[in-house]
Amino acid sequence: MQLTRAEILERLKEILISSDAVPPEICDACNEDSDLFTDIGLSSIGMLYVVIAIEEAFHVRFTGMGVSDFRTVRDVINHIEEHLS
Amino acid sequence: MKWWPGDPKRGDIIRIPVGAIYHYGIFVDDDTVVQFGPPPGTSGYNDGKDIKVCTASPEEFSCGKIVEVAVLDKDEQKRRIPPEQTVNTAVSRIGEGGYDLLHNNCEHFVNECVFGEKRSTQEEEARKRWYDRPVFDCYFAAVPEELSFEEYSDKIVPVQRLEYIRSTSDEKLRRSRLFAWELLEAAAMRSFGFRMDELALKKDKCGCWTSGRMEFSMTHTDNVAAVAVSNAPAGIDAADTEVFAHSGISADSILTRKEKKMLSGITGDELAVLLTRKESIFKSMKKMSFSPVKTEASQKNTLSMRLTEFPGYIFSVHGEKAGALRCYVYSSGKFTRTTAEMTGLN
Repeated sequence: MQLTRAEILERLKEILISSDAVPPEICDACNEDSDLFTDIGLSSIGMLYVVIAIEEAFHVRFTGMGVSDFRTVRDVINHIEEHLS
Repeated sequence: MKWWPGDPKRGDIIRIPVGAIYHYGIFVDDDTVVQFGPPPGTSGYNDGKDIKVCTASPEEFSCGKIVEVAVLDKDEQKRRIPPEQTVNTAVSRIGEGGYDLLHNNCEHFVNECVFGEKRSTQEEEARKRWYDRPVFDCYFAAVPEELSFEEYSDKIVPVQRLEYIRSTSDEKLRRSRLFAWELLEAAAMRSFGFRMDELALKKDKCGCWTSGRMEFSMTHTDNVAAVAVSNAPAGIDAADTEVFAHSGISADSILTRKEKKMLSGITGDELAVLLTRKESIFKSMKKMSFSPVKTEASQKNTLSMRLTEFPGYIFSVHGEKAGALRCYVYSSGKFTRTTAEMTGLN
């Protein structure tokens, strides 16, 4: 699957919206610099949902992950990009 | 399993809340809890890196919070490994690494020690929420004027579909059918992460292709193809308004009796809207035969729309999850989110 960072971000926003944990307007407005916890307001259980959703949606498997591995949207996109490549 | 604040016994599962999740451990004695890493967010957690099974005092484990003890139901009591064996297992694993938030976390660890089964209800609940999320994604694309059948033939599964497309004598229709299948492949991957060979495609009793993994519906004209994918039955239909205008299809052949009374004098595009709505409802319900004069167009969860990318077309969709509608234009392997302009009867 070849995806640009912009395409990954778009799909990430959809995942965040589907989590029901973040208001859609905040998801739409997020960018690579957005902090998952302070800007987007993701809880730890919300983070668990997002990571599972990423595994399912992007056909990637995360191993050796900790709760605090991701701080920003950029961290998540980097991780997905790395796994997709 | 229920949770209750109280005094744990040897071999019990205990937990504390950490934000919106829980941290779990095995109670050994008044001095010792075995846990897979310290609670997330505490100083020893080290951002999830180098986490190992370790011991803590009950006070350290609690982080000043109320400790809850697992109260097993009868079935769980039967299934559980004897407490002494649980403790031995937990202690024997001290120093073991391989922590993973999703696949090998502190809850997996305690369940393996007590039930011999690596499970995390937190992971399972999150995964279930993902699978249960409402999906109703529609993909629209222009059928390419040049399309090599040979190029696609090895991608089409199942073989029966390939043979059906191959046997289509009309070149335009063959191209549309071929391309609609490519669009389905792209849609399944984009919305659900499924490859075609994972869709478990088969023909149902009505002769329609269905998947054991997701619901889908396809429609195509000579120039446009559209696919709806959902996690509930879905139907989609399209009409080229210019072609429809010259088709000679009359209100009498489309409208129910009730609709004839309510919508007298209806013509043109409005009629196309009604027919596509009915067709999308029919496709969603997977009935044996389609009778527009017996199908009410105003059923709930039916939407009709126009897209700026395909100005001469009307599209209708029907499905329990239609409220979650998302539209994408597909071109050269890329998807662009688009906003549909809703039209008529919605």
